[in-house]
This record gives sequence, structure tokens and C-alpha cells, in this order.
Amino acid sequence: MAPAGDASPERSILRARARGEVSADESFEDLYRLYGPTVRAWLRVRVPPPVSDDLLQDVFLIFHARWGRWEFRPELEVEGARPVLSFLFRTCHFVLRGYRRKSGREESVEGLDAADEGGPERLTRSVEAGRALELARRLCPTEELGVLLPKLAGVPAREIARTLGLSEPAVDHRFRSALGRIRKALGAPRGGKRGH
Amino acid sequence: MATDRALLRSLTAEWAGLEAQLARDLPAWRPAAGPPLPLSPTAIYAQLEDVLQAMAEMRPAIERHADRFVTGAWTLKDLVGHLASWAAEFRQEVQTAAGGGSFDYVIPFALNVIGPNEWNARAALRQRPLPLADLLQQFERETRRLQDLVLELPPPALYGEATFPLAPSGDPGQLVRGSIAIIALGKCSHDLHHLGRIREFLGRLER
Repeated sequence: MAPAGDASPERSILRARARGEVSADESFEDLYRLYGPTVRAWLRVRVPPPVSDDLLQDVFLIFHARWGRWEFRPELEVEGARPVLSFLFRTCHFVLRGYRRKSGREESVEGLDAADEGGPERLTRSVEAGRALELARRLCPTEELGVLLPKLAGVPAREIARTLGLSEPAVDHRFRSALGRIRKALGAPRGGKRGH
Repeated sequence: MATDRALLRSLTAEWAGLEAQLARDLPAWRPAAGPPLPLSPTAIYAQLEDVLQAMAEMRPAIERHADRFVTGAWTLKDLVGHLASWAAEFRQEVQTAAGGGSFDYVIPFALNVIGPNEWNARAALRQRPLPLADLLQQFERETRRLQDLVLELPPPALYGEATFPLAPSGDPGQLVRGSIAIIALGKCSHDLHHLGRIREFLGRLER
């Protein structure tokens, strides 16, 4: 799985592949093991199984085709860059959009609908169990969840902004808005250092 | 009482826990044996969306440099016109094939180059008088119509074999037989190839 804030596993795989030390198939398998759980988690929070695993397969089938002609560009070697994770996030976003279009669901209401499921009792249980993530899923509108989840997985803000067609400040605003929403539900005061 | 920092720590820890849980029974990415899995309509839609977004991201730079020559004969605007022409052609082919229709024309590819020179040249002449904004709009409109078709078509229509008016060998008698899904993915490959070169070209200009 992908450790947030540590770009080295992806970079090691990319470098080994670029130098021809591993085959395309071997390195793909490594990347699937590294990021499969991340993509699966992104999807699982947004759509129920087994659909989420069907979409996981879609994301990696697309990545498999792209991996065969991956361009190892030097600008992607900079500290903190995670080109594969960013590609997977982007693809995941588009696959989810396609799924919603096909199933006739409006993207903007999904999160709000989810927040109403179960009512206050379930909300209280989530807080008591320390399940902030579950709370996020239930309370945050889709556009905030769409920023929060890749942030938690370590996707660079610039790539989130690019995929969602937003500015970086707008990404930051949504991120903070999501945190504020969860904090409010927890009855906690605003505070702590900014930045993530 | 949680602060933002404590809340983030909690969220990050829960996220790591969720990933660890989902890693334990991570499905094989595809069956070990058997033919490759077909791409679902959703996956084809996603790749078309990728193409649309790539074009949208480059649009401001394309507008700044539309009149620069990308080859000896074509400007950047001509190349956008080329992508728009093919977007319309691919969409029309898919719509015709989906309706069970046949084609009364052939697009033979030149034998010694990639792509059909004659068809491309005619399309470029047709598109040249149009403003860049119209070409970009045509590209987006046709690609979105193709996305709609991909999502709406039943599987037999999307994956069934049909004959398309493309003759990559140069022989008009040897037409491409394949599925609508393959044609849609062919459009993605075509567009991503050109968009990649456009990105490089713009990168050199704006470095």
C-alpha cells in the first residue's frame, strides 16, 4: 500500500523499469500491489462492492495499457512527484464519472444523500467509534470528498487540482471545508497548525 | 477536543487501516489465464474523458500559439482541425455501425506513412477557414457524443464485429474489421499521440 508522504517505493519501481532492470509486467505487478489497495479504498468509500472492484479492474486495465508506453520524463523525478499515483487518481476520477453517468446518478447529490442515511444515531456511533473517515464519507459533499481522499493517500495538491479542473487554493479550500465539517460534527474547536 | 492536526492524524491512520484491510484480499488484477478482459463502457468513457481534459488543459497555450507551424505544412491550428475532423469521423463511423449501416467510402492509408495522407489533406483544407474556437468546440462536441454512444450501446453492439471504412494497408479492398469499442479506443490512442506531441511542442515554446 502507499505510505502517505513517502514517494520512494513508486520512484524505485519507476527507476528500475526505466533502467530495464525489471520487465513491464513485473513492474506493473509491483505497482498494482503498491497502489491497488489505495485505488480500491478510493472506490470503496464512493461505491459499494462488487461495483467498486469492477471499477478497480477498469482503472488498472487502463493503467496497464498506458504502462506499456509510459514516458519516463525527468520532470516527474522531482521530490514529491508521484506520477503513477497521480495517473491512477485521475483515471479513477474519470471511471467514477463514467459509472455515475451510466447508472444515471448525479454526482453532486451522492455525498449529501449518504449523509442522511441512518440519521443521528448512526452518526453518534461513528464518532464514538473514532471513525472520522466514516463520518467524512457520510457528511462531506462529493466535491469535498473528492479532495480529501486523494490528500489522505498522498496525491500532490497540484495533481488533484489538475484532475478536478480547480486551482490549488480551491483544492485547499475544499480540504479545509471537509475538515471543518467533520470537526463540527465532533463538536471540536477550530485549531492546530495549517498545512498537510 | 480534536484540533485540525489531531483530526488529520486520525483520518490518516484510518485511511492507512482501510488500505491495509483492502490489501489483504486484493483481487488478482486479471485472471491468470484466458484472453485479455474487454474494457468496459465505463473504462472507454474514462479514456475519452482523459482526452477531453488533456485538450482542455492545453487550450490556453494552444490559443497563444495557434499560428505556429508544427510541421513544414501544418500550423498548430491545423493540427487541432485534424483532431476535430477525426473526432467527427470516428463518431460517425460508430453511429453508422451501431445502426447496422454500411459505408459508401474508404479511407486508404498511404503505404509508407502513418495515416491517410489524402483524407487528412482534404480535411485540413475544409477546416482551415474555421476559427480555432469552432474547431475546439467540434472536437469536444464529437468526443462527448461518442462518450454517450459508448455508454448507451448494448454490449452486443459495442463489442460485436463490424466493417469500418479504414484501409490501413492502403488497399481499399482490405477494410478494418473490429468492434465499436476498438474504434473508440483507436480514437483515444490517435488523440493521445497528437496531444502528447502538442504538449511537447508547447513546452518547448513556453520553456
